[in-house]
Parts: sequence; structure tokens; C-alpha cells
Amino acid sequence: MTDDTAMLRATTSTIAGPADRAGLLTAGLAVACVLLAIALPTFCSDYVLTIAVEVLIAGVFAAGLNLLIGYTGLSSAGHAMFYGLGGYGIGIGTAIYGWPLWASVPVTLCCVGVIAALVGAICTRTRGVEFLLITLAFSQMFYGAAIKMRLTNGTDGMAGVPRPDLTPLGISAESPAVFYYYVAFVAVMVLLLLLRVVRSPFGSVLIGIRENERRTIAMGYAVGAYKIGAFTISGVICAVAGILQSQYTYFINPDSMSWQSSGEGILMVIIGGANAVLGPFIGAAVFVVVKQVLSLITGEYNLFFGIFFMLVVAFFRGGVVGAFRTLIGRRHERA
Amino acid sequence: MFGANCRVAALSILFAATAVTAVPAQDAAPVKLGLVLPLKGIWAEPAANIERGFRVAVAEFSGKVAGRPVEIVMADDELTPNVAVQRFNKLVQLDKVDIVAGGVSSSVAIALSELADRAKKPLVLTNSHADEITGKLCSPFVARTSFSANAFQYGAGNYWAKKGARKVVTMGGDYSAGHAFLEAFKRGFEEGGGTVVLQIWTPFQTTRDWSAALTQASNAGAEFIYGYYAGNEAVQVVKQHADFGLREKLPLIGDQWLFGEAGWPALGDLVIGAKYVASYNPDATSDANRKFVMAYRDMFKLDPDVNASLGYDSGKAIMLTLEKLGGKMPADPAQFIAAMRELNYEAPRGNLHFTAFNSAHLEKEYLIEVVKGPDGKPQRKVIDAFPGGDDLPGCTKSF
Repeated sequence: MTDDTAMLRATTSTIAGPADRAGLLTAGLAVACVLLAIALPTFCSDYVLTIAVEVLIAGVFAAGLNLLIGYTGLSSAGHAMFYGLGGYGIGIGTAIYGWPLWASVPVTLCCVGVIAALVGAICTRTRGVEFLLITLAFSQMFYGAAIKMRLTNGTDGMAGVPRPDLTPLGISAESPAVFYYYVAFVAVMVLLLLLRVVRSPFGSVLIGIRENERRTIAMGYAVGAYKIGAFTISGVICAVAGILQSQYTYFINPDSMSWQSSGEGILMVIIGGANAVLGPFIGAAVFVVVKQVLSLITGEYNLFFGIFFMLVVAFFRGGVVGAFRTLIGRRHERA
Repeated sequence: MFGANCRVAALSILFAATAVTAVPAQDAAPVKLGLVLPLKGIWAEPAANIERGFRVAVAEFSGKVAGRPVEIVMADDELTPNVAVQRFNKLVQLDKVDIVAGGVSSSVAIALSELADRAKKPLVLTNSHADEITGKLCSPFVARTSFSANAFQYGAGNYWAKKGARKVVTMGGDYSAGHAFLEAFKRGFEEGGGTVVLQIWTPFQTTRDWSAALTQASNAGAEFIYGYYAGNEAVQVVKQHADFGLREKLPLIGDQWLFGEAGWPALGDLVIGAKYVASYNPDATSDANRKFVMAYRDMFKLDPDVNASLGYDSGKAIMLTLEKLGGKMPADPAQFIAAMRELNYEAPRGNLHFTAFNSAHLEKEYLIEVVKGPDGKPQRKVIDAFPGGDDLPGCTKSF
């Protein structure tokens, strides 16, 4: 197994040369980012904190999607279904059946895992455009079901999704700063999990599938199972983002499952750069912040955002992270 | 290039964050009202009328209350709850508004009322007719100055049954508002002694061809169709119903959304003879309405419609409440809504007062027929007036 993995790694990445300076720079930047994130509530207004929360939630969603797009080479246009299912899961659990949050969340994630595995088993039999369309079709099915459901108030959606009860810690998640730390904690956990996944032998196989699927099959890997695994993990991570989003807004409605929200996830992945775990978070930050700033300036911000996105695609092939790597002279970074 | 973009973004965010510092409390500091409306897309025109009506109400008080200028901060919710949440946060945290008003779509209103409840910020809804808003989801921080779906359609259904109609088919879009309105009509109609023989639901905003639905309706043995559609869909349904030759055999009756004035030009002569139920009659001769119509024409060179009157009702309720409170926001924001609940005044639509759950009571409804005026143009003729229904129960909080 390990030999194979090493071979895979050798086929899929050229190890960068001595890059101490670049490594230090990256590490320094990472530390600076963490410190900034921790200190944010001390010098920012609540408005900036809510934007930071939106960035982190969008980042978790895009990071889950990126495991499929960036690492396995499968472009899904339907991951909003898991995002929506996460929100609906805890919404139905807590607001309708009155379960506590600590029970609703694991049950929701398990259900989403099972659904993602089933949907993934069907979708991953296809490739390329077919894969894109079949994931889109599944997502539209769930969207249609959400619109029809009288239990969750149909198109209007339902309110009353609770935030975690942190009273034992003597704090309230209703406060923007506390909620920001909670979301940041979950986002860091997701980030570490993803780093662990892509740096594991499992992750190497995913990269192998992306780079050269036939060769990976020839090496004896059960590619189908790996794809389903990647699909399931990414679905569950998207559901985590959906749970955070519904807690942030206190409600869930079918819009969260629309193909537009899947599309936004793909945009974030592209802006950030698909071949890095951090990429989607940076993409999400750029996406949310640029949109917010433009909307403060003009009502027609979508037009300018479209232009901005075209520029990114035209000039930053590897997204923001790719541009950064070019800047510090590392071309083939693995995570 | 990108770095510059990023820097600009970062700088403007920082600037925005630091620029808004606490304003020292003076009497002359403005009272800020955030107005959240769907300014773009299919609801842009009704939203513009709501905004105009709202501005007429503020202008009626010369834009001041107890010496403090009143400032309106607009925000576009794009008819999307998630966007509405962002705009609400911006209004409350960045613009530091005292009160948030607006909300057309019920899904937006449901999202906003939950936020207002948590953020303890008074929210005054202008349209948003979903019954849950002042029912199951009621809040001491949320008031609605329009009316609930049940109040409007229960009254309408009850009226038709009392007028002797026995069998009716309902037809409407298969979405939350369609169900809320037509179920309410059914309740009113059946409690008045009639029967809804068939309820037809058409896919919302994706239906282009109503022939199947109209065929079903014409085979149901009913006296008329009661329809609930708005905007483009309304125009298409009315046209296809006429193409089917059902105008005599099975009239299509509806409300102010099915036969709204905005659709008249598109319908041409088809609108002549249409009967519809309305919550507001622009031709009413009451002082309150005459004053409103005059002011509206003065300011915008236009005639007000239902939406304009709803915007005006919201703005006026806010201004009257502020006046009552001497222009000061109470320390407990729920007290603002509690003060609004005490209001009882003559609005253009009739008497306006609130129920115990912060929902404006619909005192009166009109049955209006569209007739050909002397100039050949369609005009309204009020045939009848009847009381509106009550809100659905469901609010378990007391405030």
C-alpha cells in the first residue's frame, strides 16, 4: 500500500526543491492569519464579524466541494443539496420534533452521509459533463421536495433554528463575537480534517484519479469506491456548512438548495484555486468581501462582480492561491 | 492588479467599520428607518409603489418627529431571504437604524422576523401576508401593518357564500402564499355555506399553459373560478381563460393581485367586467384617503394603488408611534411595538388598529367591478363592501 502510494505521489506531483524561504513565508502567513482571526472581535465592529462568519461558512462549503472538484477532478453542480439537507436536518430535528441540538446534529450528519453515499454511488458512474448534469438533477429533485414539503412550510421555509447553547461556558452564542468563534472553531476542525484526508494515502489516490484515472485503475485501486468515499466526505462537510448557515440566519428555506448556491460554491473554488485545501477559504473570502463591498457602492453589484470574476479567470489560472505560489516560486504544492 | 483589489476591499471594509462610530445622543440626531424592499426583478414595480407610499407618510410629518429629522435608508432584499439577512445586518450594525420596515415576500419576512426577535430591533412589515408571522412565529419586536392572508381571503370567501354562491373552483400557484390565501378562502366560503368542489394548484412561476387546469375547472360543475395569481402569471391566466371562451360560462373572479391595475394595459378590453376583491379602494371619499391620494399625486404625479397604500400605512404607523414616544426610541425596543399596538386611526383603507399579536386588523374589504369609463378607459366601480376576517390563532406568546 505504502509503496503504491509513494509511486502514486511520484506520478502525481513533482516535489518542490529547497523551498525553505517559501515555506517560512507560508508558515508565517498562516500564523499571521490565525492571530488575526483570533484578534478580529477585539477591533472590528459587529458588521465585520457577521461578514467574517459568512466568509467562514462559505469557506467550509467550498472546501467540501473542493475535495471533489480540486482533488478528485469531479465537478459537481449539485452540492447545495447537502448544504440544504444539513440546514433542514437540524431545523426539522430541533424546531419541529423538539430534539436537542447535540442529538440533531449527529443524526443529520449520519443521514446526509448515507444519502451522499447513495447519490454518489449513482453519480460517480459518470464523468465530466454527465456527472455535472446528474448531480444537478439530484439537487433539483431535493429542491423540488423542499418546496413541496408542508412540514417545513414549503417555499417560505421555516424559522427558529437554534444556535448552540453555550450557557455552561457562561457565554451566549447570540452574541456576534461568540458565534464567530464557534464558526471559526468548526471551520478550523473541517480544515484540519481535510488536510488529513488529502495528505493520507486515500487523498493520494484521489489525486491519482484526477491526474490519470486509467493508470490509477491499472495500479489496482478500486477507483469507484474511492470516488464514492470522496463524494460522501464532501457531502457531509457541505452539510456542516449548511448547519452553520441555518444557525447563523436562524432559518432554512429551499433557496439554500437551489442550483445558484451550488454555482456560488464552484465560483469560490475557482477564485481561490482548486489545488489547495486553503484555496476555497480564500476564494470564499474574496467572493463574500468583494460582493459586500460592491453592494455598498452600487445596487448593480452583480454586473461588476461578473466582470471581476472574468478577470480572475483570465489572469489567475490557478486562482488566488496559484498566483501566490507563483509569487513565492513554488509551482507544485500538494496541500 | 489583484493585490490592489484586495487592498481596496480591505481598506473600504476597515473604513466602513471605523467610520460608523457612536453618534452622541442629541435631540437633533436623525431617527433612522431602514426600508428593506425587493428593488430589482419581478417585484420592482410594486416595491417602488410601496416606497413611494412610505415616503408620502414621512413627508406628511415634514420629515421630522419631535424636532428630529427622519432619515430613510434603503436596502434591496432581492426577494431572497439570505440576502435579506445580510441587508438587515448591514442596516442594524453599520447604518445603526432605529427601526427596520419593509418586507414584501413572506419568506423574507419570516427570516427577518426571527432576526429582529433575536437582535431586539423593531421590525414593521409592510406586506408579507403569511399567517404564521403574527401566528406561530409572532414576536414582541415585530408588527405587521398590512393584513394576514386569512383576514383577507376568509372575508372574501364568506362574502361570496353569503351572496348565494354554492359551488366554486379555486385555482392558484402551488407555493406557500397560494396555499395560505386559497385555503383561507375555502374556510370562509365553506363556513358561509358553500362548497369548494375542486382546488387546482399550478406549478409556481413555471406554468405557461393553463389549458389543463382550465379544462379541469370547467368540468367541475362550479359557478365560478376564484383565482389567486399575481404579476405576469395573472395576466396570462386571465387571457387564457378568455381564449377558452369561459368568460360567460365560468367567470374568473379574483382579488387585487389577479386584476391589479398594473396588468390593465396588458389585458386591454378583457379587464372590462372583471370583479375582484380589494383591501383598498383608491376612489374612497374618506378624508384620510383623499388627503393621501392628493399628497401622492403631488409628490409623484401618479395615482396610488394597493401597494402604495400599504407602504403609506406602514410609514404612517411608524411616524405616529414615534410622535407618541416624543421622538425617542424607548430603552426596551419591544416598547416601540407595544406603543404601535395602541394606535387607532383612520387610514386610507379604513380604520386601522392592531390585534393583540401586532397584526393590523382588516376592517373593510371592497368588491370592485371594472367598467368602461366615459373616456373609454377602464375604471373602478365599487359594488359592495364587507368586513374582513380575523387572523388565524397560533401566537402563544403574550406581550
